[in-house]
Amino acid sequence: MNVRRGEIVSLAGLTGSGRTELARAIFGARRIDQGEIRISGKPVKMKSPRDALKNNIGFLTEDRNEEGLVLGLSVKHNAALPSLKQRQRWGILNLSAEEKVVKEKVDELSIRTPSLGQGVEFLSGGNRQKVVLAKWLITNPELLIFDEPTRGIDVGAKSEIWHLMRELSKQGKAILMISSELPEVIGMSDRIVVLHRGRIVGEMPGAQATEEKVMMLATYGE
Amino acid sequence: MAHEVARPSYRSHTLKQFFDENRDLLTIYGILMLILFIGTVLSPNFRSAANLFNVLRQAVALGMVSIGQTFVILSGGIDLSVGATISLVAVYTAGLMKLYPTMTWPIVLLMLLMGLAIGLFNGSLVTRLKIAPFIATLATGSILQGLVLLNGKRPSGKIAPGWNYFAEGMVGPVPFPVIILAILIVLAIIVIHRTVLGRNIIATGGSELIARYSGIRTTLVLNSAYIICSISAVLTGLFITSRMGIGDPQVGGLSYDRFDLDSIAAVLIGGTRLGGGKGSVIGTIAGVLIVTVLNNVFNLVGVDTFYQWIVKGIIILIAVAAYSIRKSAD
Repeated sequence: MNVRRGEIVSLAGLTGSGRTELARAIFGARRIDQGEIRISGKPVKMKSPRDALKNNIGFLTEDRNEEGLVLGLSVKHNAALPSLKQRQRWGILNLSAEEKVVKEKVDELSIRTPSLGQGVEFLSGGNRQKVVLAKWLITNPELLIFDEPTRGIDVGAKSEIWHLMRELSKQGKAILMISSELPEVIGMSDRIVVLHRGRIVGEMPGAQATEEKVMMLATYGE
Repeated sequence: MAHEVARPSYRSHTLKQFFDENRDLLTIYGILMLILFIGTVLSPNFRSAANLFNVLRQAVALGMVSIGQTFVILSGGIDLSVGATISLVAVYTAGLMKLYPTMTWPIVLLMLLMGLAIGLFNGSLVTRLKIAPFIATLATGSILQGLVLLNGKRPSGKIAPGWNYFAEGMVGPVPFPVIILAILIVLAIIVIHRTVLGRNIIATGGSELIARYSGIRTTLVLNSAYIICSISAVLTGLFITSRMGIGDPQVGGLSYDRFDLDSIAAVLIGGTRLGGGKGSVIGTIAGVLIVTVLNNVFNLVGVDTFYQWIVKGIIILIAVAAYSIRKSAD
């Protein structure tokens, strides 16, 4: 399987087909049983999310509350977390640079929050998802993995997230999406990769995909 | 889930917002004022200059170790071995200084290195062996206290000439140890609020998983927190030895007495959340003053130590319950 710059690739499959496991393995959050990961043709080892971060990979997990944002911390501190190293000298943070870079992303993604110091637990689902996106965008990723990007988000915020994903791919980011919602998979993807029982059983361009075709592959593996 | 309302994105900091954001801190300092007031009413001796200096010295002893305890609790852990560490430092510092009265600084350095080793030991138990911090540090404390008492049950040794300056020296009208504590407070505030390490400690306490997913080396972060805590306990040990002039093997107290529970009480009263992720050194300092003043008032009024334990236990429960009720109300 491969994902190119500026491309949105979807991993489709039934629950338990190994989509999230594959995404976690790419992000270094799960051991790789077999196979290897290559970036621009060069094999890389992902022993931890730290390695993935060094290779400019961001991962928007399915569960935003348990795995995405530290509840109790502010929008600013959450958004700044994976990129602290960019704004430090001898371990001391440049707080004005932090304020600036977070404010930029909050404006760019139109995150609705009364202040940057607001605790993330007070934001709506859609705005929380955008804070997670902001936190990865600040790290300047080349590949973004979205696991169920619009689950539990209201309709208006959903289309906003879709729009943002398209914008990002236009800017040249590679996007790997996992989604259980077929209309989302078909509507968003340049290519769809179908998994069945932990194996890749098919691949098709998004433009030629129909819900029936994807379902057949995902269910029967052929 | 919060309702989305269109409103101006960034309000400037108003006075009301300041009060809202620092409600807990203001409350805790208010309670401190109240206790000071009650102390003054209950005991005329309380407000004497001599007694206030005494309170300040005790606050320095508890303050140093509580600053370290704040780091560990912020990271999601707890350190029950600080009392034994303090006893260990007291006995070895006085013992070694009696043997080698000219080697003050090498001995101090050795104690600090010992703190580093104890912190690393606690950190490794928690991060490598995955032992719950409570049990890991309780066991470490038991081992250390056993080692100390094997060496002798009575106070022994003698500090090197000049070492009493740490506790008794004056810089103009200000006691030297108070200056040291002030420096430590400022340093701790900088580390917690302005450094990568501080942010990483808070994030790890908030959620170790998310911290790891954000590329943070949580093992390193947790070890650092335990090392900071043990070294701060060493400083308290050095200070107490300087004040007493002798090494008392039980000065750090057992786990239900003195520095283990007192430092945890100070941190929790100060609003740092048990389980980590939220808290402040400023709060801890208020907690330290409250615990110290309470101990002092009880002693002046003549309340039995055992009653003090009962009261302290109840205060810890009230502090933790108050914050968790507040949290669920939000």
